[in-house]
Amino acid sequence: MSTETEEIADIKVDTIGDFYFPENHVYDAGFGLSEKTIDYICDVKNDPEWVREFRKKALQVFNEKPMPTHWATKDLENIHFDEFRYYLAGDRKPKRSWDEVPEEIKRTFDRLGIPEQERKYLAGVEAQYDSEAAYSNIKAAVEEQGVIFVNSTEGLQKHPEIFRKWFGKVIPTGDNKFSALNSAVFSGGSFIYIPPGVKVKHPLQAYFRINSEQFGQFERTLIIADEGAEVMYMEGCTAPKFETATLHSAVVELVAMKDAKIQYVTVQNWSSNVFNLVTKRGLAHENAEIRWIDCNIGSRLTMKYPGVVMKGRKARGEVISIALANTGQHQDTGAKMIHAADETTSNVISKSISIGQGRSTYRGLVHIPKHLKGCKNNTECDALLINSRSRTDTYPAISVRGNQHATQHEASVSQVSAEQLFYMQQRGLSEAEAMSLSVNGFINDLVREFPMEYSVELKRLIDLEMEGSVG
Amino acid sequence: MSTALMSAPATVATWFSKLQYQAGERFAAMPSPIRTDEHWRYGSVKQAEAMLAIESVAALSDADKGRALSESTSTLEAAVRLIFANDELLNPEALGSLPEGVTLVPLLEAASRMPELMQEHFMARETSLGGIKFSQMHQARTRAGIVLHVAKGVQMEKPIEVFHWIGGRGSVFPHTLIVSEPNSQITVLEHQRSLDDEEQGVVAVTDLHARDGAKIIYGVVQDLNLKSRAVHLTSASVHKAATATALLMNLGAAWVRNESVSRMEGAGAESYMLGVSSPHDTQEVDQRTFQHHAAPRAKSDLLYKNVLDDQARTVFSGLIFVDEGAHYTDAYQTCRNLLNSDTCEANSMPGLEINADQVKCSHGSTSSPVDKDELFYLMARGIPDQASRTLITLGFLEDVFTRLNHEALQTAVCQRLEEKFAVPF
Repeated sequence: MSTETEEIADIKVDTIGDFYFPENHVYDAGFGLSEKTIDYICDVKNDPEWVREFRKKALQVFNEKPMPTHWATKDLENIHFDEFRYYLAGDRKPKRSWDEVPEEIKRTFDRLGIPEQERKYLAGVEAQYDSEAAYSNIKAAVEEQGVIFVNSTEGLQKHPEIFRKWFGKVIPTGDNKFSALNSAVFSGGSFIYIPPGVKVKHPLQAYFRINSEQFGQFERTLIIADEGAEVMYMEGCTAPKFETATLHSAVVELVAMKDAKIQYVTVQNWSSNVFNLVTKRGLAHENAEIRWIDCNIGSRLTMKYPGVVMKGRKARGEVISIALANTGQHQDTGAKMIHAADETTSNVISKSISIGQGRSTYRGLVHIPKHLKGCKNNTECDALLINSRSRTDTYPAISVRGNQHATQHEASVSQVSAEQLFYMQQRGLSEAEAMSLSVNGFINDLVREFPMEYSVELKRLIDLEMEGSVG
Repeated sequence: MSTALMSAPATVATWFSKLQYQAGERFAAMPSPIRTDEHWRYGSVKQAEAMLAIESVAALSDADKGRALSESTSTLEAAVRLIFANDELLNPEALGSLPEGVTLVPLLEAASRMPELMQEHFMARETSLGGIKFSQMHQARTRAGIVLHVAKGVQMEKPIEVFHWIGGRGSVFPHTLIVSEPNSQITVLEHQRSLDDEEQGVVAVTDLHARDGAKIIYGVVQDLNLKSRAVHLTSASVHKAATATALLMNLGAAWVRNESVSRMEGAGAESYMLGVSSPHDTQEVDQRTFQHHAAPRAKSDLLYKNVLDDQARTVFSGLIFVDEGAHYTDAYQTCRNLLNSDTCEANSMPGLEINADQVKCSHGSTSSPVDKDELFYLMARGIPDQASRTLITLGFLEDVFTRLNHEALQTAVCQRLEEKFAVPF
């Protein structure tokens, strides 16, 4: 984080993402979660009856499921669900023109650089502020190709024939406690449909911003690339740091039909009070490809294991991830690769860096069931430890049946070599600069996978995280 | 331990009887493993329950004892060869020929003759890999096995060989405790074998203690019949500049559960954990390992190789754990599965938990079939398909044995493996 000291009226400013405006909500579901909360959300959003039912069933599942602390961190038990607000919104309708966006929200996204990116680089952008999208726009040329890019509420109301067919099919409500929570109170997120054969040249982007204290953000994203379609979607997330905890529990479902390609890029930079518990999974049909490119910086606890179910022959799944855990943070990330058809291939490359007393964890699953032929998986995870109190863990699980598959998993833990640091210091770099350069070198080959604008941002974020962390 | 000693419990040390009674109470009160326990992930709790229910074996007939004595053969030129059958030592006279400084005593006798050593080491550390109920079962019922003490500086060249035979329906509980004092050296090879085709069980515990600069090489070849079940809990405490090498080889049994812990207690400690399994038919091998680095500058290297045929199934779950302050740790963990049939199943869960920096730790796991190019090369030279596959399989497993760093032991275990595969030229 930078030490920016700009003074802006009405907002508190410390660092790039760590500022917030006073709350000015029209809609507030209040604290705690019950059927009343769900009715409130349904009424405000004018949800169809099936969605109300869906949400209430999900609430039941959420209440019944225990916290997964038999394998995960006990810090989950510090989440007090009654102390969160589950729906906060100003004007509910997203603006199509930047000028119409309320001033304070506009200033928030201005500060985060959203409009410049949109003009320069993006095919469409959606900016979510607490529970609802504040701004949503898609370039006319892309829209003319039949591409749908709206928020999830608009998706389910205006395109029910596509939305309902896939919604909750890749990640069912009961998948885990947090997918059930999201299913109960979801709001915001993106709905994208790319018609057959359409290749969206420039990325679509969503930006998720939490502004309010003791708030839970539960966006729901559903992306469908029809036969032969291609799309890149990028998301960024920030939140200011409050004394109290903030909850972010998204569900992202991707569907790549035959020969389609979806690339989903996440750069998250949550503040260190956010519990970030996200479920992300893609369904790849014949010869389709789904790539998750994931960078996790910040948050108090992140639990996120993007997965691909390779349902069609020759489908491909890939997860490329970078995690950076600083003091007080636990990055529990990984990947799930479910091979469900012949000749499917998956690749996982994960790199983590633990700084100060930070803890990073890789948790993976590769599953190749019986009767399949010619499946391949490659998994590599490398961890870098920066200080004597930092910690890293790796827990993969690989299950293979039959003799026509090949899987390989490799993991290593190391530290920046003293010789390397010495060499750089001899040439005039400070210890911190040398360390930062080494860390950037460690992740350099993965950073190249990110779009250029994000690569630059990433390197900068890592430099900032590294400040003062050596010694 | 003589037969007389076994039939007269009054001669067993009181402290030991009391310990066994307490373990029996704990065993009875303890729940069986359940599916949601992380230590039993992918494992078979039904097999575990069946194993826990099986009674101890009855005494053997003289004819069976004779068969056990005559069939206890191997290529190993052993200093001492002890033969147990249904927990009874059949050749106590063999104990007389040991060099000075090496004390080898049957388990129950050791409880009376070496109480201090026994009280310090016998089941002193609770098992942490899910088999605690088996550990209590063993502690309550064990009555055979060896306690081996090697005095400071004594380096015994020839290995000690121990056979554990089992006949009829029921379980045996062989115990092995080896304490190797500073700068001593000892090698032990054990065999677990069935005399017949009855449903049998072995719940074995092996504890190795290598003091500063000591060197222990230990191997066990489990070759029970295909109705049997085998549980083996092994642990090694490796002190400053000491080395412990332990090989677990599984050729038989319907269901096998191996839990192995190696604890690096002193700087410069080295632990080599080796595993070879070749399950076929519907055999299942469940392996859980833990490399615990409690001291800096220690090394541990684990290599498990499995060859799976038919509907065989393996589970490997391993963890390298580095304590805070255990800097300059050098730890490796590798599990490789060779998949020889389209119905076999290999599950791998290698793991790392690192709490110190300045470490080199890595793990790897692979599962794949025989390399087609290798097969083509051999077949192009006139070697039939099946023979080529067997040669490749033996080659695949051989580098585990070379890590034993003991030629005679390597030859003995290799030969046992070759007998099993019996290359059909």
